[in-house]
Amino acid sequence: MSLANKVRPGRDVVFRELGGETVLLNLRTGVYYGLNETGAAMWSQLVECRDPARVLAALARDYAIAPDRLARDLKELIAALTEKGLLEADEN
Amino acid sequence: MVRSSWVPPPHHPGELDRVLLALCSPEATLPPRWINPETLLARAAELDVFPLTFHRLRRSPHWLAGKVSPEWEERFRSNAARNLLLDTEQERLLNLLKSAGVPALPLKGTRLATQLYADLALRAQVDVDIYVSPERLPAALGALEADGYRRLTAVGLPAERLAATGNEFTSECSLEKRAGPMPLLVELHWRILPLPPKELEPACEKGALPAPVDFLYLCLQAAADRWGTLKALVDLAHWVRRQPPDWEKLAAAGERLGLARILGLTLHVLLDYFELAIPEAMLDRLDAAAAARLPRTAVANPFAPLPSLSPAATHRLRWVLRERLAHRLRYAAFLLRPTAGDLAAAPLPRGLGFLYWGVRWLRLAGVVDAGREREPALAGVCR
Repeated sequence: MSLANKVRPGRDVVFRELGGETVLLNLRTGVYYGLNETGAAMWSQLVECRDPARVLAALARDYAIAPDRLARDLKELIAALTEKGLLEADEN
Repeated sequence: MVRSSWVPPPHHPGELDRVLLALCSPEATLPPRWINPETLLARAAELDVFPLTFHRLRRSPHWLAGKVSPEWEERFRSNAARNLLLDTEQERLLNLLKSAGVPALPLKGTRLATQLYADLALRAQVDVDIYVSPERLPAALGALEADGYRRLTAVGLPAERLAATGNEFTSECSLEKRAGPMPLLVELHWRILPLPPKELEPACEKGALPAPVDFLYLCLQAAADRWGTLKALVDLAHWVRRQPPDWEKLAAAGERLGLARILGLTLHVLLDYFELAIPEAMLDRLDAAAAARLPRTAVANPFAPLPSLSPAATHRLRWVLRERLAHRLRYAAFLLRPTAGDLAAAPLPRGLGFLYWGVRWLRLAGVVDAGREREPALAGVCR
């Protein structure tokens, strides 16, 4: 998984902050996922700018976490969400 | 506060239920340390207040992270995702109905969760409830069926069979859609209160009932289960605490709609379980609508399974809860007409549909099992 490829939320995905976490739901498949505070921050940035590399840079400014660790977490999240159909490659 | 003589005595919850009640109350008192969270959550799930209980317990210092089964967290998230699905579907259906020229209004459900708890995830729900103007009911049904919904009745019979009895006293219709990952259930309501549809038109435009009417609607919902559903009582308690009603307007609306008795009884029941600031003058005023002492069984125990009443006791209770002669006569007319339960009790070919009138009498007399039928305690009042 590279951070160079742009991504976007799946076409049928809705999300909202519920019960203290951000819940993502794919309306077509019924797959849902709960994100903690850091995951929610990654998600909201991904939704906004779609560019994982820029998201990583923004998160590095906001969080006192080692860049390597942050990059690994972001890659893992993108991979997990893509596998679940909650995130997809942005061809545009 | 002196308890009015017409109100049945209160039920007394056991220790675990008292802890649960305190946690679910608007002030959310945290449980003592000796309480096992697993036991409390299981009880909350049983009484349909799991999401609120889990959310509050999780934020308390008593929460033993890692020592509570992760299944509870999954259950909470699953409910949140389901509510998100229902909320999205509700929004979509309201737009669909609007496009079909049907005035519509969301009832209870996700709107209530947001209004009372400021969070969609904190209330359990299974369906989407929508009010539609009765004149536009055929258009509403047509729009939903064209969208893939299939009509059901409350007992799962095709609506056509129900229609064959000429039963125009029904007030809601269930529809189901199975195309997606989870079956979606929608209930269309076209008579929700003893209000002419004209009075509900502005509410449809605004997207919400006027506050006093909305509160009375919740009181009716609670009364339909004889105040025996904890979730309904918790909702009402949060309403009273979070957005105290304009008591004067509420009493006036109750009196105008012939619901003062139900409103008064609801408030008395709420005071049995919650610390709420309800003016005594308000209760005194509503007590005036009470005709006679209600039987002990009028108010069920929300912490114990609803005891089933005999048909005679059920009808007596429904009769007594109605304040107006017109409502009682309407109820009598409703009683004598065949219902969906009669159809389920004795399936007959369409040509013999007239025999359902006899089946109705037999079921009223208790000769044929009436226990499978679930009619709200106030069936007929809102019609």
